[in-house]
Amino acid sequence: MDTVQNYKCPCCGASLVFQNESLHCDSCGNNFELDAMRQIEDVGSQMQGESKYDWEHYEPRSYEGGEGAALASYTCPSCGAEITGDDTMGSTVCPYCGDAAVIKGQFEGTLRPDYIIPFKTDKKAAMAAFEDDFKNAPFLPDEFKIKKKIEEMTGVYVPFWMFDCDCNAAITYGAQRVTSWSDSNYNYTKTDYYRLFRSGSVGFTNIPVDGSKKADDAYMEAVEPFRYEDAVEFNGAYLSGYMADKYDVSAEESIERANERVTNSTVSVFRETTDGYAAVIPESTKISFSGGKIRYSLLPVWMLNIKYMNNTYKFAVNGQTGKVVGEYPIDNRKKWRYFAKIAGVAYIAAAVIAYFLLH
Amino acid sequence: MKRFVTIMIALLCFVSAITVYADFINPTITDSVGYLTEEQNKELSARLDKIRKQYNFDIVFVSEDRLSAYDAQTSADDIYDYNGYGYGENYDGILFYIADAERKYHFSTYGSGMTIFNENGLAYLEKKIVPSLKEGDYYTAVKTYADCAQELLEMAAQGKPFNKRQHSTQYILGVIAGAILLPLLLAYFMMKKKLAKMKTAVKEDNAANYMKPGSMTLDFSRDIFLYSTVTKTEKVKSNSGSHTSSSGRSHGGSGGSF
Repeated sequence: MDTVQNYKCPCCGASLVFQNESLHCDSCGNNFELDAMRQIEDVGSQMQGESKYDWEHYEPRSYEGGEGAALASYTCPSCGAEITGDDTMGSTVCPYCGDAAVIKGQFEGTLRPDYIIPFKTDKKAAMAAFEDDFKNAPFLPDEFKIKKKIEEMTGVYVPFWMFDCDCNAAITYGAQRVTSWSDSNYNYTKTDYYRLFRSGSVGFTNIPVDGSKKADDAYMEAVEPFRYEDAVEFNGAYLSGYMADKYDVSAEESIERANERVTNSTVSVFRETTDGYAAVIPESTKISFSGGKIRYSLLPVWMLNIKYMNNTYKFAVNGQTGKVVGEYPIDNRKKWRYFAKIAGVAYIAAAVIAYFLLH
Repeated sequence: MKRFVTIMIALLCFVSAITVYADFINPTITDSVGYLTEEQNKELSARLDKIRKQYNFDIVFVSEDRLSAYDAQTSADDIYDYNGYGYGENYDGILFYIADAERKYHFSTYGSGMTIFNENGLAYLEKKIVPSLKEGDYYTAVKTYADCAQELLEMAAQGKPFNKRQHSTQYILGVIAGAILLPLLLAYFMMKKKLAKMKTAVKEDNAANYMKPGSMTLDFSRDIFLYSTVTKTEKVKSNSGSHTSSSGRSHGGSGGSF
């Protein structure tokens, strides 16, 4: 027995009524070709569905044999950061809060990283990169240059979860194409509405997600990208002269952020196949993959805390590329003076243009 | 011989004088509605008559109870064309027309009137006259018409026809508002751009840097047309340009409602 096919309006979701050889929506007043609606139903049913992000379980590893013998654990009593460093490290400051009273303790030998990207930018180069960045900060208070108190710049291996996946994607976009013309009496604008279906696959490798609660996520994502081709199997010897944090955000807790970044990038890359439309908006996204890989890695970051006017300003320098990120104090007088200067010049230009428009 | 030449010159002057007066056979004011009192009519007729003789240019005011054609432009043009208005072989002149019932007005120009009362000149006339029409003060409206027409005719006589651009209040306010707000917006966005350099620690929502090169494959792609919408907006018309009247003559003019 034939079943009655009930089509829903792609614009408002109301039921469509067959009328004059096409399907009509009483709710929004639009008409749709029957063939187009059949295609949308057929293709749409294949494209719809829940995303399935299937990551492999990550099993933590421990240091083996005498591998951790030369390492020590350091705890910051101020912010609670637990840092690993070499056993011979002298007085040091906490890379996260700048406190100098870091307490040395027994190295536990757990949570051994899989990979590490060794520092390529040394302390001098990192400081020079910061000085360059600092010179280009436009609204920096003059006093900051004199009164700033630069705490020790510390090289820290920050724990990151690295995510690999080859995903299948099925994405539906709403799109518009606009054409305009005119006759002697009227200007016309015709907007054609489309539904675009795209599916395919794309692979990602080494998407980093910050595994430390102490390291600010915004700083750690801003200091990206890291070049993972420089990564090597972890060896405790790489920690010599540097500090290393260990993860306190589990792989499972980091998955959500990895999924967000995979989804955003996939939608973005498939959108590049929708040329010729004035507006393209994603309507539904189905991402699926299985066996996504997770690795625990240490990535090199120089941390710098600057004390100025009772505040601590934090900066991070990518220990591989020298990229500087942070937040500078703002001199509001300089900021508004710049605003007034631009507005003043613009007002002169606007006055000249207005004069010609009115005369 | 000398006497003959004198007679010929006198005859020529007489003939020319007849020709000039023959060009102004119509009254300057035909107020069928009765907007003007007899005294006002007499005063303004004399004023317009003086102007048209001074500048050899016909200047007329006509009012009707209702439109004599399907719109004010056609009515004004037809009255001008079929009643012998205009001076000289080019029928130079301007006619100010009002249809009372429809509350429409129109200025019809012809010959050199199309240059003297060009687009900007007519806009100037409208700006000065229409407020009086809206107030029902037709005497002031016709008087202002005479004043403005004389002003523009004098400028043309001196070789500099009025051509100062005239703008609507809406346009002027738009330009002023733009001149005030746009510099502020520009300064604000430029300041925001600079401020972005002060805080570079911001999250990265994308993972484009970590996409495997060449890994993207498109297996299926289909674009399905859903529906179209068409919007139409009426063009802003400037009816002060040249147009052809029912007699086939090309008039200038401008008009509207009051």
